Amino acid sequence: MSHNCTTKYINFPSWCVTMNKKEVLGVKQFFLKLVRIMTKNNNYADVLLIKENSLTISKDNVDINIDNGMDFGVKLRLFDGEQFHVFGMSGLDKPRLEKEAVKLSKIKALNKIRLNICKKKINKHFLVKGKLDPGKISIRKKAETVNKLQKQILGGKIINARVLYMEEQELKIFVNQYKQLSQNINSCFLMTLPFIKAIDGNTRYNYKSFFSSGYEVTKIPLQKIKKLINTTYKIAKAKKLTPGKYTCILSPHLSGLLAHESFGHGMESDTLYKDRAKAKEFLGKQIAPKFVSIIDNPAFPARNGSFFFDDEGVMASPTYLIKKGIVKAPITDMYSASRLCMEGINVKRSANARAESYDHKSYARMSNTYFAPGKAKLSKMIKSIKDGLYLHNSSGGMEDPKGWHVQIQGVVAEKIKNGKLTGELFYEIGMTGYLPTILKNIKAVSDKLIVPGTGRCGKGHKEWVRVSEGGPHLLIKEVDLA
Amino acid sequence: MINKIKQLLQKRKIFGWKIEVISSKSTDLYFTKNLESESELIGDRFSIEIVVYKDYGEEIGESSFSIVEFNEKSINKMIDDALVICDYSRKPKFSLPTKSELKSKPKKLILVDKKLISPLKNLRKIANGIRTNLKKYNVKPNNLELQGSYLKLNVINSNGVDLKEEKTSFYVELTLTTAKKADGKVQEQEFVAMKEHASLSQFNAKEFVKENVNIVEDVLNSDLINSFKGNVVLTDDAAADFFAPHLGLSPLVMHASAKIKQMGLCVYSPKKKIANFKGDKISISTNPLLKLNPTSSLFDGDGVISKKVKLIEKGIFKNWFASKQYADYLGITATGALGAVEVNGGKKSMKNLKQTLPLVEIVSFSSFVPNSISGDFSAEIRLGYISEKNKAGKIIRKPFKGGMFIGNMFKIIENMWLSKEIIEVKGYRGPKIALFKNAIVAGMK
Repeated sequence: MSHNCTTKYINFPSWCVTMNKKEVLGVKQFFLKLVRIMTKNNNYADVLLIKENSLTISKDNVDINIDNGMDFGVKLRLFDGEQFHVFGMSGLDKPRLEKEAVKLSKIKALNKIRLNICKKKINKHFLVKGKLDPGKISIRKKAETVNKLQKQILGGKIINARVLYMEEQELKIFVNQYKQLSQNINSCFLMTLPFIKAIDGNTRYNYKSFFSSGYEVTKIPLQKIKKLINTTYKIAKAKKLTPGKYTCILSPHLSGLLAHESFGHGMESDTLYKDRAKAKEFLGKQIAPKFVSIIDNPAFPARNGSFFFDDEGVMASPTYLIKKGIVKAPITDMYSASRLCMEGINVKRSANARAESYDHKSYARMSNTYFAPGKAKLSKMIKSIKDGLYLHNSSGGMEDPKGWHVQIQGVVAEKIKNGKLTGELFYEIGMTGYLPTILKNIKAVSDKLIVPGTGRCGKGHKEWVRVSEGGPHLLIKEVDLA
Repeated sequence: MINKIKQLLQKRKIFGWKIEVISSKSTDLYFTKNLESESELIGDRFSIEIVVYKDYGEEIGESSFSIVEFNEKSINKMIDDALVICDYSRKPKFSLPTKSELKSKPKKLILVDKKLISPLKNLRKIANGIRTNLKKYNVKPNNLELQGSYLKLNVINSNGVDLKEEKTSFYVELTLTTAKKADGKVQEQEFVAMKEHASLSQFNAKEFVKENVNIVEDVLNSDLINSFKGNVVLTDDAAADFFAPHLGLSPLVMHASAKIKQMGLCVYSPKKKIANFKGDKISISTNPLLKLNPTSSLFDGDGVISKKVKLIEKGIFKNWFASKQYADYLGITATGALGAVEVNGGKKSMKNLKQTLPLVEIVSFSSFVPNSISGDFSAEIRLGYISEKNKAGKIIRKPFKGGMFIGNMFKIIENMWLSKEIIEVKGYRGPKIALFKNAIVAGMK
């Protein structure tokens, strides 16, 4: 076997360099010029640049892949008083963008809808980095780490294991008449996926994912790997659950998914404005016990759904969707928040307008969504259950903001008997129910908040954006499981 | 630009390379409640993915990167970096498709509707058509999204492969709401209708509106369902979701993947039955050559010409579908793009299959996402009907909403009967209905 040994070690490959400070300032000045062109007829206009560079290393028994991706483009947006006119294109082709801005500038102002625009002037650059800069770690080291982790998981009855490492640098530059904002967000993600033969002859898998702003995401204690393997062995023996109503403790991941799918989607301002959310009838009303609050917070430090400003230049801050059991405020985008205000529903802008990419629409979208912590101790919550289930994690869910029906699938549950976790697992359970009933049935909220989510959220079946979800543990009675 | 990139790659004496050029133009129209126009978006997207392969004797190193703008100096550096990265991504050797393998190219596959190349006016016309048709009904449109796109693809490799393809697609999403008074309160329900086609000619606004108005009215009058074990029928979109889920692959197809086989995860064995069939023995193919199906494609991302592949025939596992890499590992021929899931129809008519009562008929899931490895599924029902005889012997058919259809794909197909009537939608061509005996719906009452 020949081996072309190389002495060249690279750290961050050339494609992972986004823009330096001088370039960012130059782009802001150019965008300001475009905004001035587009606002010639007194229309509102903004410009957004999105540049995402990623490095992915995936490894299983057969294959290893090291790839990078790049998504890079600019979006010009003009509001004529009635609707948005948007043009999005790849790259930063200045002559073409100027030409398109001139085209848009010819649209006449209609003054039918008054947009809710924050007029506070800000010109700032934001940066988030983890403890360990992935740019200072060689790709060889990263590949070795992934290899080592994969080997640690393999062995015994584990028939294969996939380890996926991904690092991403996201640069956003937003400019309108009032704002010149830029942010550089680094994130690292690691997923482990062991496969095992199950008692029914089929293949099953377990998974655990980790998120951090830096390379420290790969520093996984051996204990956690052992726990992952141990749970996978139990999943191989896991039975199917008899459909019925169960007293359950929801893990932070599950409580977050409940907050996200069942409540968060119904509190998106576009959904509310379109009369597509039952939550509209409940604004200002009690829907859950007083010890229950749900928050969406893009300003939560260093999580998968964190950012400094949204795609419409609104600065990030937390929004209480439910505060002390009362339905409070929606998360918003510019258009639907303005329309709701015109209907007499006074809505404060939140930093939740997000687009999948530069050629997609900016909608009201969640960021980091979670139940606020309560006062109960997890150990006491478990002890209080004679016969019930601890719901570990799930593969995902689907929203139904109008009907408020809940769908969460792929749940792994552990039996609780006489106040103790038994280690007996049930695999691939579906969770359903009517949201107000589920919220009313929350009996306790634990005191420790964890926001572990590493996923992406779609609006229906499309428009994917990075989000995180989590919370404390929840104790809920009469949960419909199948 | 492409020629220049080719020259830069050819300068390096490496095992091989591939360039994938993707450009797309999109037009999206968004309408808010009462179909007021909210946004018109024009997108112009372009990207080039470059993959380099480096020789290590019995192994090959592979690394890829993307660009959206051309800069010779920076691309040269990116190629050099990618070649270094190949050292850490070594895997068993496989070959790249060659020019001589292109003989099997299909003569003609229509995937383009010229009306979707620059579709702004046509999409506005469709919006007006939907608006006009809705006037006849007592429903409220709360959201409409129309998207037209035109995609151009070019795959070039170091072995002389140079393939081009053009495709169009049209997506419509309409949310309808209807209301009634019950117990002194106004009760509202909605239904989100979605369709995707390759051509505008496949879309009929009048039929689309009528069909979905009927559905939303049934959703409004629906009740909750008790748990049920017995005959369950999946109709139209629900049947399509079952065999070709919108997110990911059906476990029935996934286990025919050469990659899954090579990973040691497969439950199928060649020439062996995949289940103990008591009903219809299923036949499944992947067919990327269906005319004007949005999932059709002349070739895959490696430049392998697509073909229809029989995966399962009369319940017996026949063939793997495979990329060039995994085809070489298994010593089989690469199969090209995956395309639509094609399921053979059964012998019985829909009417016949729906005869035995009581019967649950599911027409729409919230989201059908089975575990593609284990085959387990639990899907919430957005709309279904329960048909049973009342005391007078008369058949009563009532709509219901909620509850979950649960089971395991490999198990449930043992008691499955398929209609002879066939439908074709995005990614699926197969029976209009599938009947499952002894199936379970977990109720919410």
